[in-house]
Amino acid sequence: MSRFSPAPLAFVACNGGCHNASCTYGCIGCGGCVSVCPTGAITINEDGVAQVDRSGCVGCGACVEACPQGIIHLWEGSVRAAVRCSNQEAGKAAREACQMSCIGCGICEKNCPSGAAKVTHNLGAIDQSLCLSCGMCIVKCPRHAIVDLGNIF
Amino acid sequence: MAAFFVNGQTVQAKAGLTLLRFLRDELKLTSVKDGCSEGACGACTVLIDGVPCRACVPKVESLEGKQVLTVEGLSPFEKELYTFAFGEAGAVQCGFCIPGMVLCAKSLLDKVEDPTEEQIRYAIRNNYCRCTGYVKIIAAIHLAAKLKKEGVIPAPSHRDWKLGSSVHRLDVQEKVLGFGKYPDDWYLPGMVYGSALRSQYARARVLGIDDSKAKALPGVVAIITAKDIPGENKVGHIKHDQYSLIPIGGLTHYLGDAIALVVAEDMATVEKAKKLIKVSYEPLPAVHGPEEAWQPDAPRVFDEEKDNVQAYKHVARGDAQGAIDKAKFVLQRHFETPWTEHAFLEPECAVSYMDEDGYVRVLSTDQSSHTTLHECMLLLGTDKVRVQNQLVGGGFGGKEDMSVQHHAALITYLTGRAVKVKLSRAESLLIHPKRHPFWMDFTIGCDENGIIQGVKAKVYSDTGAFASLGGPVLERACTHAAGPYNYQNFEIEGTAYYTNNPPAGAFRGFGVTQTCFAMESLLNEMAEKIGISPWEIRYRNAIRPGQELPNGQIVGAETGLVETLEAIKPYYEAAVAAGKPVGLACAMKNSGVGVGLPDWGRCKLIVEADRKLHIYAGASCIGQGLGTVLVQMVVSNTPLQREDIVYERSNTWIAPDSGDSSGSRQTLVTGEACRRACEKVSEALQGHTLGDLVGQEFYGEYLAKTDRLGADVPHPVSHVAYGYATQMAVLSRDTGKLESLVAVHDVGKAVNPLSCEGQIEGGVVMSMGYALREQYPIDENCKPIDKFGKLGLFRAHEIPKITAIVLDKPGLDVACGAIGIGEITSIPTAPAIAEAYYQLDGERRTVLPLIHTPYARKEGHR
Repeated sequence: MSRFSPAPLAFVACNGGCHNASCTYGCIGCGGCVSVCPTGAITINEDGVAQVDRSGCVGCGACVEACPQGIIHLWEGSVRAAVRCSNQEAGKAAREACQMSCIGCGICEKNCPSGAAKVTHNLGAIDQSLCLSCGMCIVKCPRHAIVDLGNIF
Repeated sequence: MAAFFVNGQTVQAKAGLTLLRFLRDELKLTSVKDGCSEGACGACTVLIDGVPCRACVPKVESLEGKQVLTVEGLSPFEKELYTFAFGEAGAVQCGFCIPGMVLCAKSLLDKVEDPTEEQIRYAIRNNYCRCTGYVKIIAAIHLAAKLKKEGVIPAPSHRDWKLGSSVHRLDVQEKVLGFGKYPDDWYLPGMVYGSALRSQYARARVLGIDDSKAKALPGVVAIITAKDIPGENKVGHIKHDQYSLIPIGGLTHYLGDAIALVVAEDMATVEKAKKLIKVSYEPLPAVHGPEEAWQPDAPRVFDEEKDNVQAYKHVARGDAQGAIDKAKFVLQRHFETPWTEHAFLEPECAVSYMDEDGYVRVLSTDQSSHTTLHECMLLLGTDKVRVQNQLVGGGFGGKEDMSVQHHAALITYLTGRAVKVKLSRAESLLIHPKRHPFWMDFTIGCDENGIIQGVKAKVYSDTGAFASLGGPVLERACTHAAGPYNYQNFEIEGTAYYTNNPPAGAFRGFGVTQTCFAMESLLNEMAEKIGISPWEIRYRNAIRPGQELPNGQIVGAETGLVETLEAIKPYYEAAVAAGKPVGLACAMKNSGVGVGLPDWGRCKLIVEADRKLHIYAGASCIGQGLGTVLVQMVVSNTPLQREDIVYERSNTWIAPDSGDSSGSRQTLVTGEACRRACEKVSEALQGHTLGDLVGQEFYGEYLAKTDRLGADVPHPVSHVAYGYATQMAVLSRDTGKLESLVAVHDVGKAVNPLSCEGQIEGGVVMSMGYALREQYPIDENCKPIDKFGKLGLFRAHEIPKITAIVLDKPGLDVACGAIGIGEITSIPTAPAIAEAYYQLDGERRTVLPLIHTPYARKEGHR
């Protein structure tokens, strides 16, 4: 149902591949979002990272406000590609920080057919208003840092 | 190898292929259309585990164990459901996007029984349609949801195929279920692939071509260069200045010029061989635009020309300057409009082969099979060519020129092989002629009552690398610049310049989209100056039956501009009363080529062995619905019923030449030819049945006779008929975005009112793009830099409420009173929107796309 709704839902931009160890940009597992979520849709997963059950999320944005790292975003239900990383370090440092980090290589930007994917501050970002949800960035990302919220690619 | 399921069957696929290539090339599931292969268009949408996905994105190896569904795999009930719903709603035009839309709809309806309009829009938001403006596709999905719940498919609501009945179009089923064939859907035995090596420079002299390494590559069938051309190298619609292949020693004119044709057993080898061809060039300075082109020392785009002027037109009647000098109110403004890409969903493709009679048979997607025939004959130096139209995935003017057809024909002629030549989307964006950018200076003079006294204008356009239809576009821009008003002092001077940019040519509206923006914007400003409403100034000046247009033509009884103004008035007044920012504009657009050119409609009705009447007209159905129009003509003008009639797609050996699908002419011109043939059929049927007439042919032809431009007669007939329209745009003060559009069109007699609405909605949304967002930027190397997904085309979730109103006004004595609707739908939209923005924020915008709107492109998102 949510997939056909334009309503934006919460999305945590961190893969947790570092298990909270060396990345200063990602989720720290503080649980602030969990405690403010009115529907109990957020849990801390086995990587120690907040994870949103999008079928339970109502898009209220409380977690976005509560997150001390500023890495929870509201993401349109019908935009399937999202960069699940917030690391802004340059390539090598970002690579060392986490096994699933965005290294700012620009492959997503190059392959994006609609100009939605852009790399700024060493971090890929997707403009939701321009994204066509084709998934090209998802399949091309060498770091698997762009995820498919449609759970296909 | 990857194992997954396609339409329920287990399949094994070789790793490395995209799902699209596997489905089309291996499984021949050709409902999955290849519109761009870069993730943008959505025509290849399939369902993977129930989720709409573009088949061109994933590699097969990533699909292990997944369920892939194409429209071929829908249940029999679903096939019937979507065919009915899309037909009943009038949602199918060119049809290229439709299988993808159907699958988006299925995915939605599998999860949501009773979707809201917003959910439907979001379900199809990632799939582009260039024909319909999405309105009727959304309606079709609504209807499908309702019928799915009810579980019963009813009979069509219109079953009488007479004129005025909104019957389902005759090609709905083959387009919804994807079995109808566009050229790319042909896979012939032994078919090879051809593609052109394009010029590296927009302007350079070709010094040498070394193809020895490419020829030696295994799998390469032939490398063809200019020296191999048996006939004329240069082809072209009117002026033969389009090089099929650039010869050694010749100039290149733009980046799309072909240097060599590479033919190989598969596409991978074609691409590999292209890289092995060594072309040596002498790069030369290029001409980037008209301002460079007209300099006395400018480089010449053509060796053969003395300057870069492609066309010059001067239209004058009365004393424009004198009238303006004496006018109480005068306004003078400069306007600019951009390049626009047609963005039809189906890229150019042609398949050709040697037929059983030794003719080169070309299966084409174009706007006239006979034009393709003539140009291929010219190139090959033989008349042993036959052309047959396939389904055409949208044209809008962009498929009037040779792009791939002539190359395919040449390859078959020289190698004897069946071949497919298809443009990649990037090539398509570069190669086919675009809408001309125009620069326009207009002066208008009015009296104290807002009555137009005179208009004077000077315009120029960039017609790019070859003439295409640059001359006629300029001419139409000039003849229609005066607008649909009753005044007699008008003068315009226009020049089209060759440059090394991609070519410009026909585009829905044909020059009038440009000058109408200028004239209508001026009229809106003038209304304010005088202190009357934009509606009032138009009502006072509107051309009425029996009056004389600025071109001298006395208009007929069918002239319905005033009726369109009256019909829109309640909407206009309600929006004004509600304090909403609202803009208004009018337009006229010719039906038929006009201005003294021979404009023939021809139609042959043949009773064949199946005891049915087959309609043969050499006129392309490019998604506008010509086939349905002709069948409705026959049902209305003979005693026959729908089931007695078969519509045959245009070909060149049975169907007589009925001209291009251009100038909104087919309904009127071919329609009248068809009607004349029907008279003979009706006569023959007296006392007989169709079975008695097997083998007989009934021929009808019609010359839409007009006077040439500047003809020395008191009231020259420039065109046999004009359509008229008034459109209105309303903005939301809260968002600054379009809230609604109302479009009222006088069509004489609506053959199929639902089809007319579809044309209007599609035209209006296309021009929303022209007004607000679409661009076609070209860099300093004369290279267009945007991909398909960046052009700025509107998507389903972004369109406002569109009210399309079709007015019938009898009076035209041909084609049962039907006037074409194709182009005018796109003409008054932009000035109406510009005026609405002025009403919102007080800024007069004279350049398209409009600046300072929420639709304007974001910085950095080029």
